[in-house]
Amino acid sequence: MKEDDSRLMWFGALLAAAYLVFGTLEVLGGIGYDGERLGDLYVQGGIMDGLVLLVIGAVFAFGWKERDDPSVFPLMGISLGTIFLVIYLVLMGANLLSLLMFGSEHVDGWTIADGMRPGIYLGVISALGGVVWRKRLSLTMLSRAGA
Amino acid sequence: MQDVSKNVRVALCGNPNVGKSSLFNALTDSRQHVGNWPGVTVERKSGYRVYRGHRIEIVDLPGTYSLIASSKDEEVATKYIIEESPDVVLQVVDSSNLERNLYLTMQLMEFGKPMVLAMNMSDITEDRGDSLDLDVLKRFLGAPAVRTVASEGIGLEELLDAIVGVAKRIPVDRRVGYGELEATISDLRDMVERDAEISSRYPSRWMATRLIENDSYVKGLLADRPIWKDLEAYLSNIDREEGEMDLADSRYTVIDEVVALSCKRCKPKRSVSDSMDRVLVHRYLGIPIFLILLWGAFELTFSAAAPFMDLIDAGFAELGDWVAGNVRPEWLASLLADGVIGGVGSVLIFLPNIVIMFMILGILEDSGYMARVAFLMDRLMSRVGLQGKSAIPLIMGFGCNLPAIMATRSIEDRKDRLITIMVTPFMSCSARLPVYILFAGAFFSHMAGTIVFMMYMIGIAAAIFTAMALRAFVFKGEPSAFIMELPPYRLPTTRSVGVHTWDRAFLYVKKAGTIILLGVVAIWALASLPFGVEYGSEASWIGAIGKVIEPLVEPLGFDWRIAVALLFGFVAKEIIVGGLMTLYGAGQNENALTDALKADGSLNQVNAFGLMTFSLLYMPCVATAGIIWGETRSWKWTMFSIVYGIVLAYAIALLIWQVGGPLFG
Repeated sequence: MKEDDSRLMWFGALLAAAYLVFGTLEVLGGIGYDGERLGDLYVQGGIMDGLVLLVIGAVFAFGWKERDDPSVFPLMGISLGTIFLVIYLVLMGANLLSLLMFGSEHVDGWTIADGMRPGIYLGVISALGGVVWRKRLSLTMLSRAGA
Repeated sequence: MQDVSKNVRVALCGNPNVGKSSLFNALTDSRQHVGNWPGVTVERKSGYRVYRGHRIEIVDLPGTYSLIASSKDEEVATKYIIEESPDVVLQVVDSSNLERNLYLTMQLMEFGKPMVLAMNMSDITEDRGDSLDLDVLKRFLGAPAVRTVASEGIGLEELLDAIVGVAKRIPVDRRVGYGELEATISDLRDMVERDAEISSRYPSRWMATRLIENDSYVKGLLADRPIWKDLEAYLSNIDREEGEMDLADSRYTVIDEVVALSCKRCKPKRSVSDSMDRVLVHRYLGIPIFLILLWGAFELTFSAAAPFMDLIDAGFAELGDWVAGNVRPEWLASLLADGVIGGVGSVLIFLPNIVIMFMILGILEDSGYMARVAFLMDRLMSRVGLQGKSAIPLIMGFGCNLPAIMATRSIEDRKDRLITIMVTPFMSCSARLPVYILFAGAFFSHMAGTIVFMMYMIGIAAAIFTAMALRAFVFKGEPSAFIMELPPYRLPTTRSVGVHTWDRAFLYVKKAGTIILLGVVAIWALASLPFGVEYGSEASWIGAIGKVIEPLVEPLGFDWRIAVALLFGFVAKEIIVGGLMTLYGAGQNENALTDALKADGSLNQVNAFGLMTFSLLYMPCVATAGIIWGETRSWKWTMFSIVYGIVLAYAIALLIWQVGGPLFG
């Protein structure tokens, strides 16, 4: 295995663990577990949010199982983590826009902290990985649609 | 204005998903829907271009792998080329997949029509380091080959020059040598030539090869001719299965030679798409990834649109208030404010959701991911009595059921096609979205996106259940095998996604201004009559209609107002929301309707969920019933689709209310 592949694999392993742990916490929160410190970690307790994290974690983790092309799983994990980071940021942006346009009552007293969730800070780490391994992601090598 | 001295008719053909519609759009400045998956075009479409004194009519045909049609859409393409005698056949070739594409080229070459090859997607070929010698191709095939990248408009002028040039010339005679089969071909050709009418219309050598290939279309042309008896007797003495294989072998031998001489490098290697597919169509990860992406799409559709919906809502409320305060007589003010602005406005409020959803669908289609979803679904589909090819119409059904039902034409097997047509209406189209968003927002505000996602899952479950039942009791047997080519992943272009989104948004607005406007005005009139009655009350005509049908829906937890809205929803699902706006007297403000629904003591989370499910499962709209009849030409199956949908919707909503009501109501 190349040195770069090895670093990518370890990065993937760390993120796999983080996504799987936070995914489990989100699901537990969603089914009623009320851990004392979950709020500090911005765990909102959403089953679907949790499943999203678990699937992304599984993609990172499979890199260790499918060793013949080890880099592709962490790279796809990075891509998925970044896609969900963008989704969560857009959702936050929409709430923020509503807050600015119509006031806090309209959004049931929503604050930016309410919009924070593990998918965002884990997504930021994924996106940073995307910056480090941007050449490996190869998305720019894809041709334009409708060619 | 340019002088036009000659008309040229061009048949635009090629394998599925090689960019025919993109090239058509670029050549004719049209806006046909394009997508990065096979089967987007199922009908022929014409466009025009005036070029150097020629009026060029370009006919975009559905994709086909050969001139022997095995499905309805392939039949459209082959019949046009064979029967309509275009002046030029323009074959779009995926340069990155030369071997497979040249098989159709061989057949077209044998058919003897003037031909031009558009070597499309040449940027992909070049990016991977391959290089094509177009002169060699031209020499071998006797037809000009032009490098194109349709999405970027590259090579269009050269292509038009080639078309105009070829249209003036007699085609170069090119033949594939069939070795030992030549004697048989020669005998058959001589027999065909005895029929002067047939041999003047179709190349006799081409007919001879098609007879060996047991082509039912050519057999049909000859069946009532005097020469048929001799032909039939001759064909009964040859092993046509072996003959067919020999013909294919000979064509591939020529193709291999052409590729070897014209393409430098062209060695298969693992592409970016192959690597991505290791994850995205992974045995265990593929479907979970699809589901989370779908969930993310609905979260965005619901939540990101919210501020824009509120803005539109506020705008309509202002407009309605102004009309109510300034327009006289009072009945006209009521018609405009409560009927037109309230009803149509309540539908247009959902425009941001529609825009976001189609933008996401456009990105998923153009990227090539939707074709992977069809592939992923194949495993599941074969277990439930459908085939993987059914997945494409089903996914298209998320946008609109009409083109989705038409897209079933790409399914060769009649039974598979009928089952797919019957289950497509359960795929939740965009018209149902306003109903979900309204009720999910009102009764499940913190998990509205997840509830909307659940509706789509219930639709898929209903489709699976129905397919299994039809396969088990009506269309017994195994679904036919499915071979699907996975297109390479591509970066969606802003233009393509923008055009797709704009077209769908425009259709939505147009529908709001036509059929939905008529529907809400009808509801307003029924709610206002007889004169002097309280608007939208039980004493109005609409109240009377509602009271008649109320006993039918009472066991589902619905009252007369919901009953009336669902009744009008038969015309178009969006009218349900417009109708409720009128019936709840919510004026012109959608938030007022949400508040009115919450304040209605007879509604709660359970029957709201039941109502969403009912709206999902009963007949999508009158137009869908019309297209089902159009595609099946069967009143029996059209009626089955309508009645079965209503019965299933009723049964599920009944179950939800009768079981869920006592538990959670």
